[in-house]
Amino acid sequence: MRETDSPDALALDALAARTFACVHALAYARLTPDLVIAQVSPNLPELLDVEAEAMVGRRLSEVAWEFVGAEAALATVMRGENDIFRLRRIQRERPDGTLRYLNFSVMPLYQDDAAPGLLLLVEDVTAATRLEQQVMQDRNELRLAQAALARANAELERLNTFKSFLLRMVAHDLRSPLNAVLSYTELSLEQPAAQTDPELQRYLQLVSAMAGRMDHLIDDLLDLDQLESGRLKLQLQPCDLPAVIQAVADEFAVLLRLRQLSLEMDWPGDLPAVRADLPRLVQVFYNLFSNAVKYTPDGGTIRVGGRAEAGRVQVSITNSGRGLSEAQLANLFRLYYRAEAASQGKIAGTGLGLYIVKALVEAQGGVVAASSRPGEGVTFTVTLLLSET
Amino acid sequence: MKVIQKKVCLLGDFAVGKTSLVRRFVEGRFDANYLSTIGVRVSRKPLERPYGRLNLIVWDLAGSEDYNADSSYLLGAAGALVVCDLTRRHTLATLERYTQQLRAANPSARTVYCGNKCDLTAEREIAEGDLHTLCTEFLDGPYLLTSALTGEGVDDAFLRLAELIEAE
Repeated sequence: MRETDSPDALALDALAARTFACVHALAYARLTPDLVIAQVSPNLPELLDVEAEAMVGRRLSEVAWEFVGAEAALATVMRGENDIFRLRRIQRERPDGTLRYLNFSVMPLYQDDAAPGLLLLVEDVTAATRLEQQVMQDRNELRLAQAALARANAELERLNTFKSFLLRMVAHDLRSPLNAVLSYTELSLEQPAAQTDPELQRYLQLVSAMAGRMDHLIDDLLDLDQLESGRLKLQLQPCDLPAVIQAVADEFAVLLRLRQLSLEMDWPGDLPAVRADLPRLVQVFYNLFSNAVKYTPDGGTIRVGGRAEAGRVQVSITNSGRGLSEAQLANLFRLYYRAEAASQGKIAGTGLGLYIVKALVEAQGGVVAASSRPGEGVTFTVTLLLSET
Repeated sequence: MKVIQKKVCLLGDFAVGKTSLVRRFVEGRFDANYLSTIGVRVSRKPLERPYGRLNLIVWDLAGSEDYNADSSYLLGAAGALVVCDLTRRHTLATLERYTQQLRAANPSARTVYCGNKCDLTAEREIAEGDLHTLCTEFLDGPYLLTSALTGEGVDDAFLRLAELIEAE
């Protein structure tokens, strides 16, 4: 046995081939004009995962399926009509299951002016292609996520439109009988029977109050829909804030008296006008007054103060209720949020009022905030722009 | 025994399920994980035919536009499955572009169109009628609804393509 055929020498040959393959990512094969593999570089078997003996003497397309159908294109290279034939980023699964990416190039082997064969170059581009694959994977996943998001948005939009339609329809259908209930209750209260029977009068007043609350709830729901759909239209104009607050306070006068609540109002006589939509400004303070009345215990005090500074007017409404924790304050303006006492059914409400207050104040360029300490009531502060700013 | 080898390509936008169709057809399995194909992966599927054996050399091409424009991939293709994703409307319109690319490289190449992911009925954005109209009236090729997940229509699509190529 020759030294070169010994097991040690063969093992060294294989090691040399593997090392060469690691150092040189490029391997080659010489092809005859009829595309039979005539010779291979030592590292080609490593790159193609095919033994050299299984390559030499066989047609290229039998060793590499990638060249099935490429015969015509390779013939143009052989004839010199094309300089090169390339197949890039060919993915191959290795025996161990990992993926390898190869670039194939076939070019003429020139001798004098004739081309007695072709040269196949095989380049391992796995490392670079893996990086590209990751970039492409991320991009494609992002595009799929964007498309899914767009579909979800479109569906939400459709559902929201349907909700608005349904809400307006229900509001309209509820309003008609509700108006009848309110009107006939008022008429009944004026009847002699109600005037002379205190119990009947109390029942009718209760019906009227409940119907009024339902009417207010319908208003809130319609406002909410307008705010969320962006259909709210405002007519900003100079508004006399003390007059607005006084008018709202007057609406609560009976209730304040019944519950023995004190109202203390304090603002400078020259408080400037603010830039706001008058009906919506009234609604904001109506909701805040309503809130203050609800959460102030009988015999308590509601304080309203105002001051102008730095192009803004700030109004505060403070109740003398039990106050709120930090966590409750953080959620106070969230839609449908009800603080503990309220959510336990002790105080009537829907969780819409303060959400609407915040949305309306912000729509008018203002800010609303709440501060509190447990046991010391809650202060709501509304800041609005001066009309001349 | 007579053995014929024919190159066929899978064409279509990214994530329409080309790799999954090939995997279902060649390996008989499905992997729900999405892995973008880069470049091309070539598989072989022998089909027993009355005259002997037809080896389909299946080229699974990348669907991302940066990588699928390499026309050398299409050279020598006898046909292609052109795939759209029934859950993504815009992939229907891409069928024509991929068909043109294929025909530019191989004017006589045959095509079969696949409306893939037909199992996702709740998410479907492409009606079968639209696919039918496009394929029969404009692209002049048969179409099938396929699902690499369930296997529905997959073998039929490749066999239909093989028959068209053999008829050629």
